[in-house]
Amino acid sequence: MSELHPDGPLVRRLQNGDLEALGELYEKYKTPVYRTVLAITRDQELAEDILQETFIRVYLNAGKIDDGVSLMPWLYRVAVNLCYTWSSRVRRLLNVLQQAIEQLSPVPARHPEAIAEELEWQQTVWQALDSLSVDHRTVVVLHYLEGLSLKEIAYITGTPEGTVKSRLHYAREYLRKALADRQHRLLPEVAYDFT
Amino acid sequence: MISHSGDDLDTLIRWALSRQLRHVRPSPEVWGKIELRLTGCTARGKGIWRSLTRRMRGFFPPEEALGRMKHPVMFNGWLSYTHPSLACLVEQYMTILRIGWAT
Repeated sequence: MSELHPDGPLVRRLQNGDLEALGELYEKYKTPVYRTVLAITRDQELAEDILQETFIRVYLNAGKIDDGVSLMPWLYRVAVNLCYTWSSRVRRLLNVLQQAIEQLSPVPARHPEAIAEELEWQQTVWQALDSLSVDHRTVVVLHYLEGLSLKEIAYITGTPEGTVKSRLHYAREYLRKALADRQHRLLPEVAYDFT
Repeated sequence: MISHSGDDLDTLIRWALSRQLRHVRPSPEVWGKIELRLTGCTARGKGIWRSLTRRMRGFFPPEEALGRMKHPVMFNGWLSYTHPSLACLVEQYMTILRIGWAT
């Protein structure tokens, strides 16, 4: 006989319509779900809306949840599906808006060199991630940020494990190329400094 | 300089993601919105309602208040009897008003 998962009693209370149980599950899982959605959508307000919708669906579909396993993969699955829905609807519009905002944003204040370098690397990685499709970005976020296995990601995204593996491979190659390009761009500046 | 070997690349991606997102938290309003959508009222709303009904009960102790309210109010002398009304409550808590009106 399998052991009851620690989420089990909360899920059972949830299945009886206990809103406080939902509150406890929300406190437990809100941060990883929100962080993942934010990494995929890059929009705080939208990420909060998706988080909200995710937990409402948990409450409304409590009867379908297996109380013997962790709620986490189920939550990720709902949240990622909502991200896909969002992506297919408004992605193009958001890209246009994002570009406009970036053009209008003021130039950040000067930082010490090390901080600037660090920020630049971060920015390069994020820019490369942004230019990936939502499918590829989702796999990268779930793997690198949340540390999930290929099998878990396959369940969450509803795709075969082989697809997850190939998406991850493609994304890594893409990021590798983007980072190499950045280094090449920096080389002339370095050369200039030493002449 | 980063060589972009497999391990370095993995480390860099992991670092960039966690660096930017490690402190993010959803705003506290999200739970209120969830509650509102599921029950039609928030915990704060429920709290205010509970507080209000408690105060009302304190303000109107069931038997005592009813008995007290049936007595005529002094300043309302031109009527022999005043039905429970806001005037009773004002009179009960504002002694100065009662004296002022009585004189």
